[in-house]
Order: sequence, then structure tokens, then C-alpha cells
Amino acid sequence: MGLIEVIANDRTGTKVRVKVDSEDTVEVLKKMIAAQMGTDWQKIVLKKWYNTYKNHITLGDYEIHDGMSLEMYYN
Amino acid sequence: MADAEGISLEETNKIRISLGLKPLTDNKAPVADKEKEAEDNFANAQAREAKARNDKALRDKIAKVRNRRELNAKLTGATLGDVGDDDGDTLSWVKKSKKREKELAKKRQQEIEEMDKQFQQTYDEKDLAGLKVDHDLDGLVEGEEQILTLKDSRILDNEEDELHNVLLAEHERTKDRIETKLKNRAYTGYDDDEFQEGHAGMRRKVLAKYDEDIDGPQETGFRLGSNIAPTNAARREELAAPKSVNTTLLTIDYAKNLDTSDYLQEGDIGFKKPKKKKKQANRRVAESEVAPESQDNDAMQIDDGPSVNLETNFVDDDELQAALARSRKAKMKKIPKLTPEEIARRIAEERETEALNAMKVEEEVGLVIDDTSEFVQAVSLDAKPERRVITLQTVKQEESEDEEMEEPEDGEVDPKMEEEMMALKMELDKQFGDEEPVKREDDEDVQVGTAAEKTHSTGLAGTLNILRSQGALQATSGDLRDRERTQRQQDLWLADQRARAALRDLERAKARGGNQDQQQREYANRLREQQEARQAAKAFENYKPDVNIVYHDEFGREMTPKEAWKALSHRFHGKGSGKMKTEKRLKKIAEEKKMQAMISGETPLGMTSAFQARQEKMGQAHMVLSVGNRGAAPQLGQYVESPNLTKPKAEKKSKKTKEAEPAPMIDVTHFVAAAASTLVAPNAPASTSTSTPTSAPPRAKFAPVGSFVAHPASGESSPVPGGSRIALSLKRKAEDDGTGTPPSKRR
Repeated sequence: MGLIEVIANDRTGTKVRVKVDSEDTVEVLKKMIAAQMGTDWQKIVLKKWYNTYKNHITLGDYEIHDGMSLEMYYN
Repeated sequence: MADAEGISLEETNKIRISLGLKPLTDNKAPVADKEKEAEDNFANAQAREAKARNDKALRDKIAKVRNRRELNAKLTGATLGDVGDDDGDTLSWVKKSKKREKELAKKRQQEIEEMDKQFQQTYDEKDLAGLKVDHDLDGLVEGEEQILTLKDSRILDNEEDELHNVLLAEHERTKDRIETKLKNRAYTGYDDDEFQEGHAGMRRKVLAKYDEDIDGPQETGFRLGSNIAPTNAARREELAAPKSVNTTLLTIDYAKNLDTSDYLQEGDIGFKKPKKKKKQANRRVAESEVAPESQDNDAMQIDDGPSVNLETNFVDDDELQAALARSRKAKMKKIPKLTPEEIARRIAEERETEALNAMKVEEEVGLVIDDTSEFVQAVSLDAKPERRVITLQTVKQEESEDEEMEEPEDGEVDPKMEEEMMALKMELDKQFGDEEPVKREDDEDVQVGTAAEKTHSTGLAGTLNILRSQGALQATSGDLRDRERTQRQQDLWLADQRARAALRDLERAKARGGNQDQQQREYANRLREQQEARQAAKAFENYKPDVNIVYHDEFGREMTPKEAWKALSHRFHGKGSGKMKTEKRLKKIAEEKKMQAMISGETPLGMTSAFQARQEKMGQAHMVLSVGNRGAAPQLGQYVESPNLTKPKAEKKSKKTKEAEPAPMIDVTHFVAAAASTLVAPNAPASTSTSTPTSAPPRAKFAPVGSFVAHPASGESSPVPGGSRIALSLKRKAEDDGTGTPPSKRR
């Protein structure tokens, strides 16, 4: 358990910095991003290259560390 | 890259709480903790591994040491290199060796004693019991001394000890060799072996040389102390014994006259007698029919005795006998011997019977009187007057025909004719009594006035005639008549053919009944066949069938030859025409159908109804279709008609525009002049003065028209090309109407 900061960037002008716990799931991360951006969290797709992060897996398991940036897409 | 917007921890926590998650704390220690733990774990694991490695190395070392110690333990005691107790001086070594020598001697002594003990035991019969001797007992003659030795045998095969005598063994071997030589000889077919000594009655086997290979060597010899096995000689005797028993069977003596008989003896097993089948009834009937005749006719009477006698005498197969008898009888029947006297007698008999029959018939007719005969008589009595009537009628028919010929001035009756008629009547009256006049009068009535018209009462032909005269029935064309004629001929021919067939059948039936022999029948058949062939050739001379093949398509239409050919071709090749062609054809058929469905005299565009409508409107019975070389004429309808008449629109339009001003002035009856004026007025106002006088009655014929035309053509261009055309056609109209029409009203 530890506080980390993740940067989500869709490369069209939205870049969000979110504080989350490393034991939170990707779903929580999405919810946080959505709360900051003001969108529906279910519209967000987080990716790193060709890996799409799944909702039920924790950030720690995905080895998402402090200050990492993720690619954000919408569906 | 622009800095990402972030929010503070407090705000984040607020959101987290609102999402139902626990708030974040700012300590990053736990992460470090975890890393440390992992490091610790790693260190621990490494330490454990190192320890395990050490342990193993130690254990190996210990094992090695122990092993070495064990090895060393075996090597205790003095070695060659070691200096023993004796410190190498010769004396002590000598002493020692002496001592050793003694011990060895002692040991050897002991062994020898033991062996002696063994050998001292008695070797007698008991020891020999069960030992096998390799010879047959008959080789060992009693009383003679034989020295038996142990036979050589292989150690590895673990063979039993066997005793044998070398000489005897040699002897046996030679015997064997001879035997095998004998056996190996190929089969000669003489079979002499069985007569050789010692082989009597023993037939040589076909492949005797292989017996040993197949069955294995024959076991010989015996065991000491056991029951004595049978000797070879004894065995041979045993084999020979049954042969001697059989000798009686081999005798050639036989009872010369053995009691044999063809007949079943008592106690013999015989054949089962087959049941007699009932012969077919019809065959028997036929036989019975034919048989008496032949017997009657035949001078040589042949009794049926043989078959009967056979049965009594030597019957061993009565079925066969019966069959033979039957065939004999049939043969007898087949060739009746016809002598001339025979034939003559037969003919005489036939005549007699015929005469008798005729007499009988006459007698019967004379005797019997019943109502049928009476009726027949009555009919025959009446027959004469009937005939008379018929003749009269035929005469009258002729007369009436004559009358008709002269009828044209109908109603009037020739006085001369009248006289003739009367004379004829008188004559007839004289002839047939007075039943006739009435009829005569009737006939006269018929001929008078409208009644002369033929009625339908004369029958179908009469009716047809009437219809033909009225034109209701078309006279048949030449072609149709030809076809009818051929058809009639064909019918006739068919009828002939049928009659011929019937006749032939009748003949055949007749021929079948007759009693002819095979030859005659065959001859008759040949004759008939020839005749038939000739007849057929003749009959088919004028065989002209009326053939008219008609093909129908799938809609039931009759197809033209071309269409039929196409359809057949398509069916043959298994493929039809393409989509376009099929559509075209279907369209054509549909059109045809529509055409047929339409009222007769109507065109697909409804021309007739249009014309009728026009006629109603115009009040004219006629209609001008086209006038002039351009094929366009002004029509009355153009001025009166509503636009639904079928005429070029451009013309109509131009007409209307021009009519706009003078319209109220136009009188339908003078429309030609009016039209002319309308044409002229706007174009050449200067010429109006000149034209006014021209419209006078006498010039209306055609002079003014020329001037009309000339003006627009020579002067300015006409307003509408249609205008000039109308002017041209006006010329004709003017010719027609000019005379009758009064001068046009001009303004």
C-alpha cells in the first residue's frame, strides 16, 4: 500500500495527473480520472502500447509505479 | 509537454470517499517495507541455498572417508613389501616352509583316503538298473557274452548315458544305410516291395523316404531292469498277422452263376414307386375324340394290346411303358393311310348326311306352324304394295324436281304442265287403285307458294343445303374437299382392312377344325402366307393416310413449323433460348392474346370507338383520312372538336391562335372561306381590297385560292409553317365546297 501518482494522457489535449494507491484496481484509477475529467469512467480505455489494462486487476500487479504515464483512449 | 493537471491529496480523498474507497495517506513507507521484505526474502533464500550446498559437500566428504577406510580394512595383513614377523633370515623361512609342507601333505593324504573310500564301494547290477542299452534285444543273443560300453554323447546336450556294443552298432548302422537306400529309390510303380522277404504284404508308401524326417528316428533299445520291450521282429510279426487273415479275400475264385435277377427279391431294398399323376383332362378328351375316328377309318386295326400285355408280363417301369405306348399310339394316329376307296367312301357318306339333313329341315318346316311363321308370311304378303309405293314416290320425286326447275315464275302454274300432271295421275290411279290421290294432293300443296321453300324435315343433307343457300354455311374450299376425299378413302381402306382381317381369322378358324396332317397344314399355311403378302401389297397400293401434324406450345397455341422446329431443337439440346428472346416471345404471345380478347374490328389503340365518338360529335357518317400529297387535310373536327381528337397538336394550336380574332364570325358551313380570310387578313392588309371581289361565287372555284397562297409565299414569311400547309389543302376543299357555298362574310 502506497500513494502513487499516475499520468493519463490521451494525446488530444487532455492530460490528467491522478493520485491513487498502488493496491487500487484499474477500475478505481479510471473512476478517479473520470471524476477529474468529468466523463463516464466506462468510456475510458487505458493502454500501454498494445496492452489494454483490465478493470479488475490492481495497479501493483500491472507494475504501475509512481509517475508512470498511461495512454488514454475512449470507446 | 504541458504539465498534467493534478489535484491535491485532500480533493483526491474527497473523491475517494464519495466513491466508497478509503482515503489515501501520504506515507510512502509501506512500499519501502515491501521492498525490504523482498530483499530479505531473497537474502534468506540465498542463505538457505548456501547452507544446503555446504551440507551436501560435507556429507560427500564423510562418505568418501568412510569408503576409504573400508577399503583399507581389506588390506590388513602383511604384504609382499612388508617385512613380516620373520625378520628375513633364511633359517626361519626354511623352517616355515617345512611346516607348510607337512600341512599340505596331510591334506593330500586325507583327500586320497576319501577317494579310496568311494572306490571301494561295490559296483553291481543295482547300479546298472535303469541304464539304457542302445540295441534291440534280438541283436543280443542269449548265452553270448557282449561287451557294452558307454556310448559317446555330447555333454552340452545333456544326454543320458547309453550302453552299446561297438560291433553291433556298426552292424546296425550298415543295415540302416541299406534300408535308407531302398527307401530313397524313386517310385517305380512295380510295387515289388511287398513281395520282398520280411516285407510281405507291406505296401511301400509313396514317399517313404521322408518318413524319418517327418516322424523322427524310430526308438530302439531297452532299459536294464525294466520290462522287456517287444523286439522289432515281434512287431513285424504283429504287423504281418492281419495280412495273413486277409488272404482269403484275395482269392480270385468266385461263384460263376450267381443268382441275379432283375426283379426285386424279398428283403431287397427297392426303389420307391412314384405316384401316378393324373393326366390332364383336356388331353384325354382330345384323345378320346380322335381315337374312335381313327379306329373307324383305319382298315388296319391296331389293338392296344402291347401296353396291357407289358403290364402283365415284365413290368419294371410302368411309367416308362405307358409313355412308350402313348407315343406309339400317337405315331399310329398321325399317318392315317388314305386309300382312294377310303376317300370315295367318305365323300359318299358326307353327301348322304347332307341330304338327310336337308330332308329333315324340309320336314320340320312343313310341320311346324307357329305365330312367328305366320307373322313372317304376313310380312311377305304385304311386301308387294310397299314396293309399289316406293316406285311411285321416286317418280314423283322426279316430277317435283322438274317443277322446281320451272318454278321461277312462282305461283303461276303452267296449264300444259297441269294437263300432263293430270294425265300422269290418271295413269297412276289406274295402276295402284285409289289410295294414291290423297298423297298426290299433298304433294301439290307442298309445291305451292312460300311452301316451296325447303324445310328441315328432309334430313341432315337437306338442312345443310338450306344453310348453304342461305350463306350460313360456307361452301367447302377445294383444299378442304381434297382432304375430305382422302380422309374418306382412308376410312374406306381401313374398313376394307378390317374386313380382310376378319375374313382371314374366319378362314384360320375353319382350317383349325379340319383334320389335316402336318404336311398338308404346312403347305396350306405357306400358300396362305403368299396370298396374304400379295393381298397386303395390293391393299397398300392406295394407302394414303391423311397426316397433319400439329404442335402446341406450353400455352396451347398452335405453333408454326418454324416455332415447332425451334421447340423440338431446344428440347433435344436441353437448353432454351435466352432471357431476352424468351421475353420477346412471351410479349408477342401476350399481345396475341389481347388481340383475340378484343372486340372484332377493334384495334389495340381503340380506333373504332374513337371513330364512333367522332361520328357522334360531327354528325357525319364519313371521315376524311388524308388528302393531298402531304397527307394532311383540314378537317371539320379541327374547328369543332375538343382537344381529345387525335391530330397533330402544333396545327391545332396555330389554328386556335389565328381563330382568336375572327372566331365569332366563323360559320361552320363556310369555314373554308373564313379560314382563308383569317390567313390573309393579318398578312396582307393591302390586298384585302383586291381579294374582296374575288370571293364572289363564280371565282370561288379555285382562282382565289391561288391568290391566297401566292400572297404569303411571295410576300412576308408566313407566321407558322403549318399555315402554308393548310392553305394548300384548302385548295381541294374549295374545289369541293365552292359551288354550293355562298360567298363568305367579310368584315
